[in-house]
Amino acid sequence: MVTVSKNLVNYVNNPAAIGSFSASSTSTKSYIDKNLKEKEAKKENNHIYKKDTLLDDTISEKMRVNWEKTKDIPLKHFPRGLGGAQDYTFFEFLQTAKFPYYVGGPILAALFYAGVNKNNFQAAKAAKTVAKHMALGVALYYVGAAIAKGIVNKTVKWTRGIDLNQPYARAIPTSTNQTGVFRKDTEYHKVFESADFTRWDLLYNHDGKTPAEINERYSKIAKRYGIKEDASDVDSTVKPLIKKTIIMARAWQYALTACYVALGIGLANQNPWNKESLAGFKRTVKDGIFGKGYNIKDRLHNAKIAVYDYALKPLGRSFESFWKGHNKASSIAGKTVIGLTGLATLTAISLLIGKTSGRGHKIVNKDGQNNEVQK
Amino acid sequence: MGNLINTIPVYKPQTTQTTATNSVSVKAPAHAIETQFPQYQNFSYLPAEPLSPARTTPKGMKPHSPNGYLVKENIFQSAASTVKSYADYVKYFYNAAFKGEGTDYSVGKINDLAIRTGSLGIAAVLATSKLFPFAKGMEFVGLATWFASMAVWPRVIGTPIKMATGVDINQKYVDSYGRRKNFFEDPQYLAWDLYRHIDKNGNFNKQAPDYEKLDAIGDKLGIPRDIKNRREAIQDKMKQIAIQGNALWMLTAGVMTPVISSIVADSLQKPLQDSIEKYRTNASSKKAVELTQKVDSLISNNVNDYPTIMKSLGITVDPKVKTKFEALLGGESNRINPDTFKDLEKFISERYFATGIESAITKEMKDVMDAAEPYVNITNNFKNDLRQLTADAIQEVVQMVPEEKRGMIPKRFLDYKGLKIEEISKALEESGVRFGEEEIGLVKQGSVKNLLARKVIWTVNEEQNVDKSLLEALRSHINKKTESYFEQVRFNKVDTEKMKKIFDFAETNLSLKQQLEEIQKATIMNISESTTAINWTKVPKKYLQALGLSKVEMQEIANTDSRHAGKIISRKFEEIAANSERYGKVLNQMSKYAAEAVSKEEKAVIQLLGTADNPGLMAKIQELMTRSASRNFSQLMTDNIENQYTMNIRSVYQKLTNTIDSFTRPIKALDTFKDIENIADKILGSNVDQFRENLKNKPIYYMFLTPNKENKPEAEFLSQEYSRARTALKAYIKDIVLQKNDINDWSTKMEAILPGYKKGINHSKTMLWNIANEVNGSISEDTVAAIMKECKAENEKNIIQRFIKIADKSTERMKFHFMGIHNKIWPHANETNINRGLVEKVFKQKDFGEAYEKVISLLKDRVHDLGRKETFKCLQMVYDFKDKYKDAKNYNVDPAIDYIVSKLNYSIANKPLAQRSGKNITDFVISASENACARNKWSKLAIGLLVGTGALTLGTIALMGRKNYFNKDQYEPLNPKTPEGVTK
Repeated sequence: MVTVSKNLVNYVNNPAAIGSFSASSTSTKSYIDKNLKEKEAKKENNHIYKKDTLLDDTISEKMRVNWEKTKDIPLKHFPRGLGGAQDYTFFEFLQTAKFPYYVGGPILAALFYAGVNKNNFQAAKAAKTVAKHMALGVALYYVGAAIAKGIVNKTVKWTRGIDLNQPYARAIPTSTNQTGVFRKDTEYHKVFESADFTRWDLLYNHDGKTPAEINERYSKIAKRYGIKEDASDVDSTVKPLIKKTIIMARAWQYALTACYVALGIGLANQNPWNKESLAGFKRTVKDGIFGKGYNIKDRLHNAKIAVYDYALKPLGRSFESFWKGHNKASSIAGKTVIGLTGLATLTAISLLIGKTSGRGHKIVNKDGQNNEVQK
Repeated sequence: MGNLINTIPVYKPQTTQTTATNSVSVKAPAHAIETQFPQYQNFSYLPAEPLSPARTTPKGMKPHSPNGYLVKENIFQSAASTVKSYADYVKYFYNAAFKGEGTDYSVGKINDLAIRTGSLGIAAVLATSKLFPFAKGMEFVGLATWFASMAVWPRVIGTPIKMATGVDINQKYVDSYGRRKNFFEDPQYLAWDLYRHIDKNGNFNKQAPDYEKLDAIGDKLGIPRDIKNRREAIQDKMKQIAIQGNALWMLTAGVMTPVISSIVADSLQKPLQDSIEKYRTNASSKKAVELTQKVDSLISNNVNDYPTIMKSLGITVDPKVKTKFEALLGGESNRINPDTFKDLEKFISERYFATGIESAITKEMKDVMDAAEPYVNITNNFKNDLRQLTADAIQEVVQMVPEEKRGMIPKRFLDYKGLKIEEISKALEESGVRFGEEEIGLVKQGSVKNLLARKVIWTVNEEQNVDKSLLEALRSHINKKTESYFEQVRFNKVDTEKMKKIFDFAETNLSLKQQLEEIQKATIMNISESTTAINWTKVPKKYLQALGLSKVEMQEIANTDSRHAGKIISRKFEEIAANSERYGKVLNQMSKYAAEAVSKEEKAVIQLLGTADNPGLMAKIQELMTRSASRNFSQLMTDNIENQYTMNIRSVYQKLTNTIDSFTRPIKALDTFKDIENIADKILGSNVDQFRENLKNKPIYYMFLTPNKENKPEAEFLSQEYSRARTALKAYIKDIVLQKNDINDWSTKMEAILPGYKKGINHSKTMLWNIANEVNGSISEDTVAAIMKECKAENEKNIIQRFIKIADKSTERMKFHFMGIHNKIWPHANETNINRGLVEKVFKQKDFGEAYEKVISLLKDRVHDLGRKETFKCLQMVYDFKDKYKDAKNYNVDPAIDYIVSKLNYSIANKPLAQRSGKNITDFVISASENACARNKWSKLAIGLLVGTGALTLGTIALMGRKNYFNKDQYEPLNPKTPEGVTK
């Protein structure tokens, strides 16, 4: 076993490696030819990020990060994984796990479509209806998942000032990274992705001179948590609350996703969508909005038709028919899913607001006295 | 946390506690931070203690004693522990969602739980959804297979990896906290210590040498024994393989999960479909039997009142509907105000929409109850009200006149006290209401109104001194007032008791209709998973197999027009007909499938319809509803309900005949192909001499001759023409057998093969009639014998024989069909004449033997087409004639004969026969080929993906653990001189 002090040194050399023992493996590889090791280490360090960097919390930056992450899946993570790179991480495994998620659906659809007899009008029509519901189901599946995540994220952001999607770039040291062209020098993570190893350090203002300046972000967050400004060690005070928030938010994100996805699939399978809403939507958008020979007023009118008549109206109707059902079982299923989704949403929001608050906690204020309950 | 030291120069000054570090101390080299920030050297980091009472507060620092272990369990044990762990996940969820407590691990497990629960929710939603019951069921199965293949795939690729390298990428372990994890999940954190006491068989054994298992794996991997830190080298190699395996898993899972799930779902489809079909038909048959018994007892007990019928049939009306209906009726007053009446009509038309009796109810209400128009009751109060109304009207009109002009109004006008009661009575009488009558109808209300106004004006203007405009104002005012008064007192007459009866009747009908539909859904309805639907997917496929069409041929048939497809099919049929051994085999198989399919459907239909002598469920319900309607309502309602059921019965019967006809046709066609020479002999003559004879007798044959331009000798010319005519005729017959059963088509094609004098169909009708007779009608004895020869079991013989009987009947009908529809062009030979001859034999020649029986059986055969009422009317005529009137002098037989013949005539009484004649063979084979091709396309894609991905997987596995770009496999020799020494 390496000693704690050795670990410390490693952390100092390699600040990104927190939370794992990766650093230790580099130091003891004595079975590897020393010459080789030196040869490999010669590569010039051309990092974009010299150290772990908090990224801007803007939509454009998030989009760039997502694009980089997606691009890395086929270009870095798969080649490195298939080659068995020694410095392959769990993060990379999780990234590759997204691949089947994206590929599986289209392949299933392709298999379904290949089995359809396109010559037989009736069969083709029936299959078309099924395919339509299938496509809509997939769309509403993603919409449902996005809504569930959005509800939680927005609630946390508005009430506690924390963006759970706040990205940061992790600089990967080349000393543990000997894989040439497939070398990864950056991993894009989220600050709050881990409850156990939250990157608290990134939230400090490293250029600050005084504790108040250094803790600037924490003070802001603490205020949103209802902690008075005179709290001593505002960062330590608010960290457990943030951790609690992260755990609660993640749990509810998963739970709500299950609810909303079931709701989406349920809505997609209702009859109101059969009334040519998808075809109508497509036609109206293609011809009515982007087609030739309309003035702006007509185009706006057509846009309204596309959104209202072909999307919102059938959505509303399908909601109604999902609730009512066509027999006892389906009516119970519909009411349960809708009811459960509504209930879960309200519970999630109220718990996220109510239970993460710092009000009512015992807080040590600056003069060292225990503040009783603050109202 | 440690990196806070170099990122934050100032955190919180605290006194250094040097004893906090581990006792095994190695002096750390001086780091940059120490040289750059010497002023902070005295500070060290101690985490600030969180003050919230949350459980996350570190409580004591007592280290856990390590008690993790590697999991060794078989597939069932692992399934059991998976289920067990879900209970933990629920706990994790509760702690996380409601208390905010947990770790990355527990929150990650909540995701697993949410995915499973969400999928269950989706499955429940889909399972209860309305669209395509069986397809939904398959989605349900698909979902299950999806999850199964998702779970199975890593195990599938894990097996060859383990076999090749000894590394199990699915190895699980339980850590000191009792959490189950994949051993190789995080390559940067591998708990190798857990392998310490694992012996080479993979069992925990403290006596075994340390890391025996790892060494064994190392040997398998071919790691040299004489290197430094061999164990670490082995671990790194295992890590490499695990990383490769996990990456391969993720690369292939996206393709393999849907492919495996699709293949598994497909192979499950047949057994599932069969068992579901069996279950459903049994359940529906049971339901039908129960319902039949109940209806039977109601009929035999002569029950006609609806509450009793409903009670014994277990029909309950939705209380909401009943309340609504009763609210519309509004008590026992027999009166409804006109607006409510409109609502009532709307209620009826909506509630009983498409039950077939909705318009009958409306008519019953209008014609029998006279409820359609509003009425006013004439009482003394009514007359008094009108008197008061006229009095008020005068005063109000006076008020309308400006103050200064009122002086001009005559006194008689001002003093007017309203019409007298006698005057009102008189006005009513004049309007057409007879005095003393109680009610006036809608039409008369208008004239009453006008008369009242006229009478008032006449009275007040007796002296002709009132201003004209004032009179006009008065007239319109009275009209308006009367109008609104009528509005108040008007009502629709509704016989509440009768309406309640109608409601019960309609509800009973509705419920019976729904129950019948439920029963039909499992059997003969055109919905997926019904017996009919399954037959129609299975039998054509089997026929193709029996016919032995190759994939290429199917592709060709599926992708060309019906003309070309017909040629291919014709070639195939010729092939089969030419080989008598194959002929028997093919036909045997085809009739076996058809027999099976038809008998299933027939069973269901017989249960529903029964026969003439033994009515089935629908016929019994018809009887019950018709009889009870006749006791309670007018003839209108009775006729309506009877017709309704007759129509339903007919459409059910049509389904069956359609199936029989479609499945029989290919068999009969093969029969024709086999028999083609015979048919040609019969039509043209079996040799040139007979042909010459025919030429003498029938002008039609001349059309087969081309002009003898070269003036050949007659014998030579005729023999040349004979063989040419024969070839053309055979081709023609083959064509019409495979194509549409359309006489226009037939005659056009007939003309096309006649080389010489095309003079229209009239000349070829005899020949066409003969041909129709040959290609329709019973299956030939030779063919039956050939089919029977191939039967292996006695049971099989019986089934096939039964089917052939049904099939013969069906083709016999087709013969009549042709003759009947086209009796215009074949006036001398149509079924009317044949049947007329038969009926005349009974009625004129008084043949009560064979002909009598034949007429009776023909009539009984037609019971589902004609309806029981018609059939029994005809039967009664025949019975009565035999029993009572055969010797009666004044019994006029001609109308009786006409009537019966008209009912026996398929073409007149039975219009839908043309529609019901099933699919023609070409279409039948084309659509079957299309289905087969679509399936081939699917299997090509599925198998292609399976094989492709499988090959990629195996190829990758073969390369696993080898030296590569990422792993150089360079080892430092332990001792270059002695190649021995295993590191431990």
